[in-house]
Amino acid sequence: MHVLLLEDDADIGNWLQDGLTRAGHVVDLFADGRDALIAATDSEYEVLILDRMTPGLDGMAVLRTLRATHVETPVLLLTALGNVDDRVDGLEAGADDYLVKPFAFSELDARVGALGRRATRGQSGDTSSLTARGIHLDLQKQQCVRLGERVDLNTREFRLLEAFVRAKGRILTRSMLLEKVWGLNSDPTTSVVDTHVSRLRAKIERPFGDVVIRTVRGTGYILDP
Amino acid sequence: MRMSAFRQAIVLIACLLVLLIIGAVLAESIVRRQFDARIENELRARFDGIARDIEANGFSRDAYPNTTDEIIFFQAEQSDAYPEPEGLFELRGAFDDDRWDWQAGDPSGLAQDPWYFYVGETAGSVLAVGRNLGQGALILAVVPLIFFGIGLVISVITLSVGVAFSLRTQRRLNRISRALHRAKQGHFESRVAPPDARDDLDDLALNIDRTLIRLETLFNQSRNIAANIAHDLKTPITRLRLRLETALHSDDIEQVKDNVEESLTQADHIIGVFEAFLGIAQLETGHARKRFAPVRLAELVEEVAQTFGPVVEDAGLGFATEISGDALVQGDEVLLTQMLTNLIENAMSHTPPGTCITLVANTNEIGVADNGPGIPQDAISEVTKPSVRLDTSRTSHGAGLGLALVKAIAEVHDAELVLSESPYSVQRGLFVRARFV
Repeated sequence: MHVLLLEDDADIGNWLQDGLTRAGHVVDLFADGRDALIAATDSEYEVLILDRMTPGLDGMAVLRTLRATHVETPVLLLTALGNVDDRVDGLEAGADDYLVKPFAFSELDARVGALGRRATRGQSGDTSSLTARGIHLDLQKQQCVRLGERVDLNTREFRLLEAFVRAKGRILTRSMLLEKVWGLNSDPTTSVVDTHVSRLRAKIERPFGDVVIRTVRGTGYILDP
Repeated sequence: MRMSAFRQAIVLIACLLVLLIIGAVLAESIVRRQFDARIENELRARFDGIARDIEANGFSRDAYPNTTDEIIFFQAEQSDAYPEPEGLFELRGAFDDDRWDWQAGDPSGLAQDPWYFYVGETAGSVLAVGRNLGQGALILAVVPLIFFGIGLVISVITLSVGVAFSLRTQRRLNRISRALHRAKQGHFESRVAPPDARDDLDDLALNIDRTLIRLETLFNQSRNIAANIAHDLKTPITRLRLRLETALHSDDIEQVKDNVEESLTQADHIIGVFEAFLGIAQLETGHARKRFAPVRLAELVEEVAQTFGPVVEDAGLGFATEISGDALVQGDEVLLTQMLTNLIENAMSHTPPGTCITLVANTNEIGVADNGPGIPQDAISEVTKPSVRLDTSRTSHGAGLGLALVKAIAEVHDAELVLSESPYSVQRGLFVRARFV
């Protein structure tokens, strides 16, 4: 993917650029908001990663200007540690996702991947059912069938599985799942995600004797396509 | 300058004296004008009476003998020499002479009592009627003296009272000044208000005391916070360092990975501690209130139960819900969820295996009860004191911090944090909940 990265801290900027490049993306790094804004309006990026506080023009201003000029490229906003109001402001300004520093690189990588997907999927339109690995989810009836057999899931488990099927082949981190399925922004120290994933797996894997959802060490989970 | 109160007294007295002098001058001139007008009226009446008498009967000295009080001059032959047609004269002297030589000036005589003369023409001659003002004129001279005397007495009295008051005020101001100076140096223990407030200066002193008390509390709190942060971070930072060092000296790649992974866990824990502290600090600003919306407590608790019930059960503990009532409160769903999450985590980490954790929602409370060993009564009362910021380090790993966050969330919702024994178990247990008002 072609990614624009606005980050004024040279160390973090280079670290992210290296990491994203290694993950297979093409990354243009900018330290000044004005340059980033010009570049973002000029060329075709698939994802914009904007640091909130940057010299020249800060990330929020870049984001607002872009949205005002109808540039709808997905934006991931990076911000310093924990301010709920910041998060709300960022999302209201048109950010698609929000990540608080310090974060694990795998977290950023997973979110960038999700954002790129979101941009392309937007064109194909939503369907009323999803399929992956023999799992068929009827979104209207909220029913799950695997390999012809009906699997009873409660609301939460259905939403969890839906998140995995939608993101098939991509890593979902624990905090991404917390946000998507539970609407929680803070990370509980207890293993909410692990518990529910393991219960879900018990229902969709055990009767069929295979592994659908795989644990990615230190990061999260992935539903292999 | 320091003695502002004293200077104020002096300035006020100076102003008073100036006013007194102006008053004296005004009073003297008013009294004199009144006095003159009265004398003129009297003399004029007397003059008119005598003039009519002379016109009718001619002048007779016997009818108008000169006395020490009244002198009459009537001089037909000198009428052309009379300088003015009519008017009032003030003269000093003893007028024993029978005649008034107008051209020579004043009638002869010794300087004595002041006299007023009313002089005018009648029957083609000059008639002058004089009256000895005697003691009456002295009043005029006394008026400024009276003012001067009053001024002197007032000055002395006000000066001494003013000085006494201003010295007292000055002492109070100095005490306030000293207390503030000490506060500037970081000592907030001085108190300046007297036990009974009498005036605005006492009110000021009272407000300064309140400010000092508040500052002292905040100062101690921030000192505690710093100490607590240090304490809460010491362990994970030490572990982090230890793990990294082990990884650095290890040749086994699996061992390196294990240690690095554990380092990441510790780093996450450190971030978590920071987030909790920042969260508490942010809650204390009250900004969260602007996002408040109606929240159904029963639904919120049901939701949390669905999320955390399996977690609690997987940890080998019992899980139950006690949901009653249909309370609707103004609040932030995310924060309230976090509050319940923290209470659940607290209960999980402080109770033995097999304990049952009950998630509760009733008509005005949400909270978590357990049937564990409970906590001592004095700890309960300590926690619920309104001014107490919970000692975040008192309990083991992160739990104290969690409870501090719970308290901050309850407070931003104007809810009271209530701790008691659990009514849901036969054992003592602990029931922690936020009680909405």
